[in-house]
Amino acid sequence: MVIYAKYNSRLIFIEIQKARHELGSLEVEWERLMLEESMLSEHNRVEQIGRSDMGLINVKRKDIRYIKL
Amino acid sequence: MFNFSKGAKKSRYDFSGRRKSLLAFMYMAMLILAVRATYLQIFDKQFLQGQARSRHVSNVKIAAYRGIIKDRNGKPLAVSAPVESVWVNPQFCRVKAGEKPKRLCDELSLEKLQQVATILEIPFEKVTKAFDTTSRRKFLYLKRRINPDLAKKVKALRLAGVGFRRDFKRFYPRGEVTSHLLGFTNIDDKGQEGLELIYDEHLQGVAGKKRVIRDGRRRAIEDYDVESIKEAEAGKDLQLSIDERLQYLAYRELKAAVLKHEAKSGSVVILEAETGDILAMVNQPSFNPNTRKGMQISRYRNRALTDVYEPGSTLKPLVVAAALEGHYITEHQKFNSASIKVSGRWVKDGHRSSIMDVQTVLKKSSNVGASKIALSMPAEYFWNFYYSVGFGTSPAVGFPGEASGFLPEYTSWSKFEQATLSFGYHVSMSTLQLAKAYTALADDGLVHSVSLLKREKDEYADRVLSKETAVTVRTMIESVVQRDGTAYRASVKGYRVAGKTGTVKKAVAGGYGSDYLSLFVGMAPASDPKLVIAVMVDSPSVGGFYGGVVAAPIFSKVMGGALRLLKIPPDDIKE
Repeated sequence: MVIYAKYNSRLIFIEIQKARHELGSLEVEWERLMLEESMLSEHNRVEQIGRSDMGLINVKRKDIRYIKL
Repeated sequence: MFNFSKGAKKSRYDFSGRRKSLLAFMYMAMLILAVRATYLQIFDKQFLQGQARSRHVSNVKIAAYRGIIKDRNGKPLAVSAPVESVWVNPQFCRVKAGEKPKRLCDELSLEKLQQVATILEIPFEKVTKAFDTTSRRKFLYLKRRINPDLAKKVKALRLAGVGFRRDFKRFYPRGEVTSHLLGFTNIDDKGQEGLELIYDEHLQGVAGKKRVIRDGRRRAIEDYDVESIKEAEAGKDLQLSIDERLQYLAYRELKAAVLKHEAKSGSVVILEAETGDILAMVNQPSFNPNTRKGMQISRYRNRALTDVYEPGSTLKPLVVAAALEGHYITEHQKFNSASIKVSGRWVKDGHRSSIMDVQTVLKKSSNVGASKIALSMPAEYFWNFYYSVGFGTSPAVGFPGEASGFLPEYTSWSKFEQATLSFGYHVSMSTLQLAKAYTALADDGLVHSVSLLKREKDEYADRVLSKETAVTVRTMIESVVQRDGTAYRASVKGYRVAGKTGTVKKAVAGGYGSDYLSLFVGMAPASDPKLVIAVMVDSPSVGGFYGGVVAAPIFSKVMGGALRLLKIPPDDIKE
């Protein structure tokens, strides 16, 4: 009985350790992705790509129609 | 033949004496061993176990994760990313030139050290010096805060006496755009400036501890923690009132204008009219918080908060509001703008004198008109109004070095001083204080407290004007941005804009110099203002210096963009 319980608790502890490490590495990954996302979505970069690569322009006042709902 | 006599036998073969003494000796030895074993096992157990543990088990600090600083929409502005620090214990393995290394250090070849130097991008000499020290040091960093991928490469070399520590490095994805606001942390993850400093305790977690097993080379065996003694407690996140999009927009426009006019510095503050939340606060010159090497301290200053100046004509709408509120003047009263003498000194206007009503006083920015209005009020009442909109008191954002400006006590005012106070001299404030005062006009008479943290509602809003007075003054200063006003360039197509320019001679020690401050404070949409924006440009030297020429276009661009980004419907469309 005692031996079985001890054995069991060891197994569970190993599992906890594994889960912890997975959590740790996932957190690292998440932080990295968050940083990457914010680097890529940097306004300067977005603006430049929008203006030069995709040819986006500011819409002129007279081209805007307002619709009241 | 043989003599089997007992006596002879005894004398020849009887070793009983020897046997006994030997036996006694062995029993003694056994007893000593038993006593010693008992002593070690029972009485000295703790000490010995501790010694054993200290040789292969050790406690390692777990760095706590520092909280994220987010903008009001949850975009990250400051993030801690995990990095590794590489350290060396030079005592463990000394490699002296020409000497054979200890057995454990076999793998410490010069070749490998060269590899380390290349991976970490540090000079080779530094690496060899770290290993070849004759000092008594037992711990020194080879390089701190490196990319975990690089650390992996170094780990793969399996060097003796080299260890790794998980650390966090702060990254500021928005760089110089948010640097004044956020400040930065030092290498030990402690806040040094700005919000990182103010909310250091909130952001910083509590470091934890864990036990690890080390191998014969003192390297921690990874992925096998014996026991966690104390979990690291992660720091809490911080949500700001800042809208990162507006922050960028304001920064971009301010930077362009400061470059164009070759100005010394500048600030822009955007407030949400209904809550007093600071949506953006930018300054020039700025700095990149991610690489701060060789940066002048003056660049770290959050000028919108720390630098005070005389706000000039931008105060005139507040004077008119105060006088209207106290019924010292009426809306349609006429004033002669011919120069007047007040306690022996002249107050003059820059333009031809005429008879003008209150709205024209503001539109043409008449000093004489404003002085007459100011002098119609009792000094105490006037002072009280200025004080209630936050002049001479700190806006209490909690920033280090936050200025409270200067408002002289009314008991010491001369008539001339009272007059000059109406066009913004003899009183000083920061750009934030100026913007804050304008919330009284923008939010129908409520002056708001300002905050850098996101709030739902301003619990410290203070009514200083009636709604009627606020709306009247707002309508009056809409004329400022009309075609014949002083700041047509502040207008935003499709929206009604109300605001006021200021062009101030900059005070220097003992008088006024030749430099100007170019100011504009305004709000939009004027029918129900959502935003208050204050713009200050210090010492523009190229392309004019008037508030209507330098500051007003910045206001127009920032306001126009901000209204569009916040999806605020236009209130000035011709059907």
